Amino acid sequence: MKLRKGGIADSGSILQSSSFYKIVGTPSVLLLALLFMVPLLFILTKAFVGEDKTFTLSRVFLLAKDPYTWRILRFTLFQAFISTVVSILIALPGAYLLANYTFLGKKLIKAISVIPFVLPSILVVLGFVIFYGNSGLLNQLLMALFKLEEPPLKILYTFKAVIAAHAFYNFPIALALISTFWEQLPSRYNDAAMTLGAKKLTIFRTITLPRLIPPILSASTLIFLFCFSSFAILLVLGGGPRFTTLEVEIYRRARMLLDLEGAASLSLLSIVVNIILVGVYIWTQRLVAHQEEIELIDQKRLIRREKSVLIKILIFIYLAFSSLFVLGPLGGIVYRSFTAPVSRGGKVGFTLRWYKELFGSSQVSSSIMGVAASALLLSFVIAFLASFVGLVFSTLLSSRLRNQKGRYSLSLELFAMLPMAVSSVIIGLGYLLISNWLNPSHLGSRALVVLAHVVIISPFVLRTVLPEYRKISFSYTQASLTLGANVRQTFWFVELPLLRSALITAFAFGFALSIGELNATLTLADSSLVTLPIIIYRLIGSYNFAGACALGTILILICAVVFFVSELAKRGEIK
Amino acid sequence: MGLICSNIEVNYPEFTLKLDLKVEKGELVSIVGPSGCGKSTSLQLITGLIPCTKGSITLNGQLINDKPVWERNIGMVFQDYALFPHLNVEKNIAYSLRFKKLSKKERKEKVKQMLALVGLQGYEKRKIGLLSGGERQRVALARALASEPQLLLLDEPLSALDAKMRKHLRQEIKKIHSATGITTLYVTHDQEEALTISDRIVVMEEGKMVQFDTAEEIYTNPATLFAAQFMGEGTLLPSSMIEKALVINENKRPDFLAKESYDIFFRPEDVVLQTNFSLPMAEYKNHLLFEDVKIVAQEYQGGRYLLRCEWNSYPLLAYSSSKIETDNINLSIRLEDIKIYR
Repeated sequence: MKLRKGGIADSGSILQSSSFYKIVGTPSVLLLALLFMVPLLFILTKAFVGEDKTFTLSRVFLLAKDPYTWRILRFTLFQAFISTVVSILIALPGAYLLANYTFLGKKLIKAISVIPFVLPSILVVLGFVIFYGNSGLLNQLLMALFKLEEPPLKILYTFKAVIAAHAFYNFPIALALISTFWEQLPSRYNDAAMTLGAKKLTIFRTITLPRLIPPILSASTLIFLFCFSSFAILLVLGGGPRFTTLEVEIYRRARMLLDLEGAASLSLLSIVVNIILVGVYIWTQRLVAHQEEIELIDQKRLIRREKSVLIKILIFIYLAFSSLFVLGPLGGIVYRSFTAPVSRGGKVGFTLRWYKELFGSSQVSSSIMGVAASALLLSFVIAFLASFVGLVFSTLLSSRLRNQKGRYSLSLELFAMLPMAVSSVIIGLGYLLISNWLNPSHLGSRALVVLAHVVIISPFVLRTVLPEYRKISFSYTQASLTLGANVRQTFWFVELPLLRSALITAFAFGFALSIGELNATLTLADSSLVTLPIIIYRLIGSYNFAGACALGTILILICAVVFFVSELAKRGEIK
Repeated sequence: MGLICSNIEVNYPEFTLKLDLKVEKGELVSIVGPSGCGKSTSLQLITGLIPCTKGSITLNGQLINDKPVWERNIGMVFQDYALFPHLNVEKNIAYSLRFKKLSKKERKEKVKQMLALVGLQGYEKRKIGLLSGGERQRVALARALASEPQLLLLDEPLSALDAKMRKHLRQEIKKIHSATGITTLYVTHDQEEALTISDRIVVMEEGKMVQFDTAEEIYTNPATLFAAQFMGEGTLLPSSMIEKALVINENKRPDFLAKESYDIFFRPEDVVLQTNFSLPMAEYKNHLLFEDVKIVAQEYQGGRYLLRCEWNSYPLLAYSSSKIETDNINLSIRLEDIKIYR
């Protein structure tokens, strides 16, 4: 019987029939579709069209019959599973502390756990080599402390290193998701259970834990998804064919064996698994959303809660651990970039040598360090263009999605999120195939990199913009229209200004993702195209760790600035 | 002249909205009805936020059906005010002026004038977020009036405010309406608000206009039982109960008594009380006499009591100027004060 308040967005509203949103929304959908579907089409063609230009299943069959394929898939799933379990186990105590207590350093843990979100994978790799390597900082420290002859930690280029790096990268996701949910669990059920005579542990087992399962499942699926398509970490830290995953194998076949058909066929397998995982993820998200009403956290409840000695020790351990675990590798990179051996005895001192080499003020022959300045510039241009284009697409698409309700809108939204179901290596492969076909000019090949980046970052940018766009009350738009502004003017003068901070955050996020992008760029680009992450990768490969650290420090600085800007925007301090 | 909506029809899954309405120039007309009856939708149709496919809307002699929202020059105040949070008070009020190509000086002058009209002089640079509810309401009104619209629409403009502020601001709105002389449509679910503020009132039920008349006429002669009950309190009895209370003092029996199955309705202020049972009821016209009625509750309403009574398990309502000390009472109502509904 009731008409919904602000029912303007329902059937028959002029916003829904407004040609403006259709005109701006539709091309962005089509272009995004084109940018995403065309490379996929090229991959499908490579996988299913034979030499005689007819449809063939022989390549796929060949691959399916090869036990090597299944061994790789098994290992990929296995490493993702172990990584997920370890990440969740590391996150759980932290989530417990964050959700139930206020303590000194709580903000620090929260801040630390944001870092990996904006950290390019190549920096994680570099940080691990520098910090946990056999002659890494941690080993040096331990050897000096305990007067050891041999480095006690020998995890680099082993399975352990891969798992540790994945945990480093992903435990913050679990920490954030689970602690936020835990914090918002209504406490009255616990109170009720307590009045019914349940003890603390019983309450946890029977009341809290069952309700935490949906967010744990959701976080696990997301982490599994990320670890399944993890690339740089396995490529470098895995260090060999023993630890090859699907993504690494696709890259190896495409770029080293030049077996593009094989790479394309393998991609199909990866896409199928990814789509299943994304489906499971969406399902777990619904579980979380539907589970129960959440209540605004009552900070007083947290403050009043007494901390036992055990909890205090736990807090201290967790603080120390997470600082060392996350900040150690990052600090290691910065430290190494400013130091060089000054004596044969291994003593080190402060130096700017690596930076000078990077920017050509002291020439080193036959090193790629000299091209750092141009790589930096290229990375900036690519990241700027890609995040700008991605932002424009996402904003226009959001403006359309906001005014559209129902099944059509949902499918459009899911469609726009599709690139998330395809790994960046595969997008890189698709663009490589396009590049081979087009044989583009110097500028053209760079444009292809930008387009690949647009596809990769757009879902994330859209995820940042769309919810904020939907939060804008329709009455603002309606008020503007009645005040004499047409739909286009309303978009410019009301909707965009209201989105300001979301747009800045989304741009910053896209920029950070693009400037740190290695997977697609490495798969797609020829050797003349050098971006910041690619140089770092090559420097690691040629054991020039100091140079890699200097560049890595610059990349850390860029990410920090981007993160800072987006935080300011979120607090509304950028006017 | 004024606003004419003729034969407008919009179909919704729940009901069909039908609008046939003529508002004189300078008149203040309220639309009242329960939430979801289609009153806000009516406003959105008139502004053009919802397209009008059947019927016509004429404003001051001009057909505006096919004009887009932004060309209609209709001011609207929204329930949540919809003041743009990214603009200050001045820029909010001047928002419509920039599309009218007014110079900066003219805009400043107009904003000043508008703020004076709503009694918020000197508020130009204030931020929207720092205004109180009442101040927001005034700024929203000033913004809607700044472009000198031909019609002002107010969509439940006072519903977000507390009772005291509501009463104060509705007088303000009435004053501003008299000062500007702008044709105004006022949507509210509060019948008291409608009764005090309007020249005429539209009562709406499930998308249909039940009655369109002056406040007094609607209160005293409601066209339907729904209108009667919506506009104020009263007693509802089925015709089958009439014979039990009927007292004929005049020669002629009223015609309606001959009809079959209908409902009767009367307001509590028309009911006469008798507390002293030893005296006869001082009523010499035809009336209904409810004897030995049980008082269920007495609600003090400031200055009078509303008596909730029970008679043959039907509720009866009456007013009393003082608290009744007995448990039972006699009530009477003249037949001429009774409304008949089928």
